[in-house]
Amino acid sequence: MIRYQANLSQNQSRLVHATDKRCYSLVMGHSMKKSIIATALASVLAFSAQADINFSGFATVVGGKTSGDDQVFRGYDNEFDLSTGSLFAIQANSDLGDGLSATVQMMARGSDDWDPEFAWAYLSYDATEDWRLLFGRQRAPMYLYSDYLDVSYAYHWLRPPQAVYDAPFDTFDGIGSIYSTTVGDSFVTWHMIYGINDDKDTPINDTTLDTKFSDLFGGSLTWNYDWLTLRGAYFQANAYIPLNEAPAGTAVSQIAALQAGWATTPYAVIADEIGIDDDKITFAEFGMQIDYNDWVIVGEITKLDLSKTIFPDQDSWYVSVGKRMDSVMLHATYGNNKDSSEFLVPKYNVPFPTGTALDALAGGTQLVQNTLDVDEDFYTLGIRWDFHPSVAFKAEFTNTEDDVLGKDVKLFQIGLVSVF
Amino acid sequence: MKTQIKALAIATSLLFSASVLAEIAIIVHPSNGDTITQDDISKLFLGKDKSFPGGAPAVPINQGGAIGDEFNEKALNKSSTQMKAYWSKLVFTGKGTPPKDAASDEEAKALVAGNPNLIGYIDASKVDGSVKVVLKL
Repeated sequence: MIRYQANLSQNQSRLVHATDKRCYSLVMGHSMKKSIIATALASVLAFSAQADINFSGFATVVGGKTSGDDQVFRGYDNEFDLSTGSLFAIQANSDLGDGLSATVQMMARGSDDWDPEFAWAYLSYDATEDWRLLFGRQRAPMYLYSDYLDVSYAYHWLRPPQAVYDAPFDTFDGIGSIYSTTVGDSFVTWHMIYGINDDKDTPINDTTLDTKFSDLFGGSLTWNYDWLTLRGAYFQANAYIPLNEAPAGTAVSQIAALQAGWATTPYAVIADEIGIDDDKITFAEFGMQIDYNDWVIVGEITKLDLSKTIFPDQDSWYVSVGKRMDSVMLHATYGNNKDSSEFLVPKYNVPFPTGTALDALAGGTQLVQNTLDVDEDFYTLGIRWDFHPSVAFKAEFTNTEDDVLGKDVKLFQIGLVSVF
Repeated sequence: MKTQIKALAIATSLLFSASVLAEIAIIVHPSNGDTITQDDISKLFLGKDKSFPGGAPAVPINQGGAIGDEFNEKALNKSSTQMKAYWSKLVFTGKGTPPKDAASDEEAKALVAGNPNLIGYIDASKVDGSVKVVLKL
């Protein structure tokens, strides 16, 4: 990592303080919001006048296309597209002394029209040599690669298998506790979190919704011995997903219509089952990583329990094997993702068909749940070539067979990944 | 004949690498009395341990360039690319910060000579009385 040092001069610092005062005098005016932001920025800058700031960053520039004429898959279609998977991030970190440090990571993704957002923004405090507390916006360590999911340089694929890595959110605002210590010859990391995710546009099926995942709680335990890493994780949260806010014409709006329909019948309990209002969801993961001489073997198995929502439970796994040959690594991955619903019509013994108005609801619910279910096998073949000290070239081919929908999608991707 | 050529090739490559690769000395402050093994060095430079075996806080000092590459290979058994990937996992997740780089053997030596908490490495031929060698690789 090349690290740049920025140091504000005394003059700049004085200037910042002057701005600071002006801002306070503006508070209460209708430009209040603006001035609060200005004050916050000014105090951050004034603060940093005393401390060095380290800048670092990472980037992925990837292009991809699917093979078929009408294949749309993970944001790609038949036209070569350079924005969907591409991202740039810059991180500023400042050591404030006494074990405190402040870190901000801004990330811009092609898939969000390059709108920069705060991926991470936290204060960290080293309570002891082994124990660090993080306060603010951070990543929920759900999967083996969650922490550095966007830092493609840190692993062999362009991105970890997306059929497996598809939790609805990955960051949260709250508290993290990272305890890491050596135990004999092994290294143990215990990462616990508590917080909330309040993203305004979470991808839910074929739309985005203003969701909330509150009381997000859980952690991961990682054990590492030289070439072997074992990891387990468990998380839970209370989910609020306003299905009725989905735009007309989307699949989610049809689900909302079914919910409204059931609410008027004697089977109102089904409306409750469909709706996602303070429903507990849980996630469990187990992962393993072997990095022995020139071989890398990674595997993960995950279980996402959404049984109190209309969405199916997700069981997924993958195994990946890579072989390093000097600056080139070849790798192959195989896995499966299975989304399975508990069908509500048989669960509540709704008579079907009856020749009454109930049939439309029962039939519609069966159809929607059938559509949500997925059983996809996938394999990925890829190459990573470290042709430069800070940049790697990657190329990948992924084939996904969806048994339920009976389709077979081929995705080609090439890209450059970097840390700087 | 084929075996002979192979043997010759191996011998040449051994000679070649011996002449190119200099010995690296791992150095600490002369007042540091700890016995430091290669395993300790690896833990310190990977950020897995933050103190010397005797309990005093330890701050590793890295170097860039050829000697840095060689240290990564010999002490940590990793290529410089692998080390960069390793630290990017920690830097961008709030889990750790890589050791600072010294610009030269001279700077690394001067830093270590001036601070009992530092541990660094230099070309073994540059060692003098201002620092103590705990291991040669």
